[in-house]
Amino acid sequence: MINILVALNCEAKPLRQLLKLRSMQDSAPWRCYANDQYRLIVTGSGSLNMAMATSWLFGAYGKASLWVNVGSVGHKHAEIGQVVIASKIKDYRSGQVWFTPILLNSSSTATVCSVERVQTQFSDLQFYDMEAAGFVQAALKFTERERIHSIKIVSDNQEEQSEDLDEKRLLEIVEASAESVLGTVQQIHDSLLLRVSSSEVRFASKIDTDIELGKLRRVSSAQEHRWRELKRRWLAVGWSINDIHGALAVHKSTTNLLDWMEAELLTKPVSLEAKP
Amino acid sequence: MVAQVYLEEGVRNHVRTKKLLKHYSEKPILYIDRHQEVFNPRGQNFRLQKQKPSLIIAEKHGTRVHPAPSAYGTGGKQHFYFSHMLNCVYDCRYCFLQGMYRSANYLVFVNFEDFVKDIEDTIKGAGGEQVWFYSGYDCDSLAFEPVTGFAEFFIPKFSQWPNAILELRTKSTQIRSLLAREPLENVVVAFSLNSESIANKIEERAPSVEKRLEAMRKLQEAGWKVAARLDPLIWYAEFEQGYDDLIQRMVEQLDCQALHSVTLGSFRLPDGFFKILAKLFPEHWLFASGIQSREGQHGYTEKVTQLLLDCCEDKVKQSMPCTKIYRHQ
Repeated sequence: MINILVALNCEAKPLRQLLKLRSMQDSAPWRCYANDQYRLIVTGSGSLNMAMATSWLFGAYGKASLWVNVGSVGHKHAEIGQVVIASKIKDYRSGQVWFTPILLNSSSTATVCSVERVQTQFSDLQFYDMEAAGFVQAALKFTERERIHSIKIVSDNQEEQSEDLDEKRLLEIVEASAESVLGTVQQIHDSLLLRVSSSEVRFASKIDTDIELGKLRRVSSAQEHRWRELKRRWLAVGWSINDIHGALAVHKSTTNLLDWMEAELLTKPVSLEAKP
Repeated sequence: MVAQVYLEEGVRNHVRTKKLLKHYSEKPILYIDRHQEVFNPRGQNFRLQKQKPSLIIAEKHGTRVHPAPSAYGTGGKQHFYFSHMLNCVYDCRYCFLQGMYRSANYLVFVNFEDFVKDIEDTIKGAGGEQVWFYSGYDCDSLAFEPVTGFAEFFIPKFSQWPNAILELRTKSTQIRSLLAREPLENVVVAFSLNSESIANKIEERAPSVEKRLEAMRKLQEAGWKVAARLDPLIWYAEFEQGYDDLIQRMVEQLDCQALHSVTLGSFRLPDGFFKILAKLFPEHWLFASGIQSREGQHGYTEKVTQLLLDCCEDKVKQSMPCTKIYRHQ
């Protein structure tokens, strides 16, 4: 699942439409939309709103493969509609700085400085927004840097100032860049998928679907913990889960079963001839 | 190979920085105040980052020469290590760096001259005793040589310090800078070797055993002191055959009489590091087979450890009777 966090409704609308997201009918404190692959939340403007919504999204739905803040930025002379990925995010008030890894070679990267009020005076060294710092600070509490990205669309510059920017104009700007933004999101997601090895993915699905001892026997939480670790090791060395099925019939006591598994793992070496 | 470059503002104009950047002229450069901003902050996934690490160019502040961990040495009384680089370009599954650092980015320190001063101070402080310095604790000593010029810079310094011995620990075949100069009596190049199946399966991106042996042979022929490190020895069903083959190949390809030493050590990691690695690679057999926790370390059982070490020690003794053997467990 890819989570997209957007401050304003007019920024969210073009993305929602392109992704064909449906409104989620639960009683969320923020407007949420989703399909099978994406979840989008409209957070309200400012770092605080963004941080709260990011944390709520994690609390409500848990882990996601990618967390992306999409929004508008101002810059001294960058072209309106230009799309940039934040590689460095600064909180203007606290001076705190975060670096997010660049996963795409081809992308245009930028330093984004999050401010509390709309800016009209720009430095040409950085882009200005109001949410990225709140987003990255919150997201880092529960996921890894590689999964956190902020993609920005230039909405104002010294020639076209933010005072002239109404919702309609912002909607037009985001609409014109939405496809490019979503393309970038998908590329980042694919790049992350390439980094996760197929053996890791296969193993994760295997370990989730194999025997759940707690459903077959009464086990203490300490035994459950030991069982999970031994099952991981058993599958990691490439042994069949059917052997455990057989041992379940032989070892009536859970402790005996776990001791047997441990002894097998400690005394029987892995054959590398069979390993790819 | 490198995704982007993070550069500390303070070393922006350092001569070595400029040399390093020539190798990455097409990579984006991001300026940082201190390497800690990107090297080891929370919320990084070593495994994800290792696929495409970034290069961090920085200055090493604080302690630059550290006392070596116990049982690290291969001679002498005083042992120290220093690291001009943190993290390795190779991806060996057993490597403790994966557990020690949150970040897989390559951190290169450019203030070599400060390291030299600290090494010199350490030698002076030893009161005339022989002092060993190890490079290759936090990185491979030679793997990044064409980029960092580490050996090219440091080795000549050791010609001025006859009481100091430098041991370069490596799996790399980047030996050009050594072959280009006269060998030094007080420099040992220690190559890590493993059985071919272990090298092929869990020493990703590292040169093949064949290539490492070839590099060792070339260095020996040029007059350099060379050592072999069979560490970590890995326990698997075919281990006897695997290590037997390795030792035979060493005998065939090296001048074993002239080997400085052979070090043997079984796979072991501090408990904390092991737990991180098992979490990073839950599907890997290395962190599942034969492992238990003993006295703050995860490693093979006492019986398996002795079996591995005895077996390899016997083979080394039979094939290279004159060679000095160090045994770590």
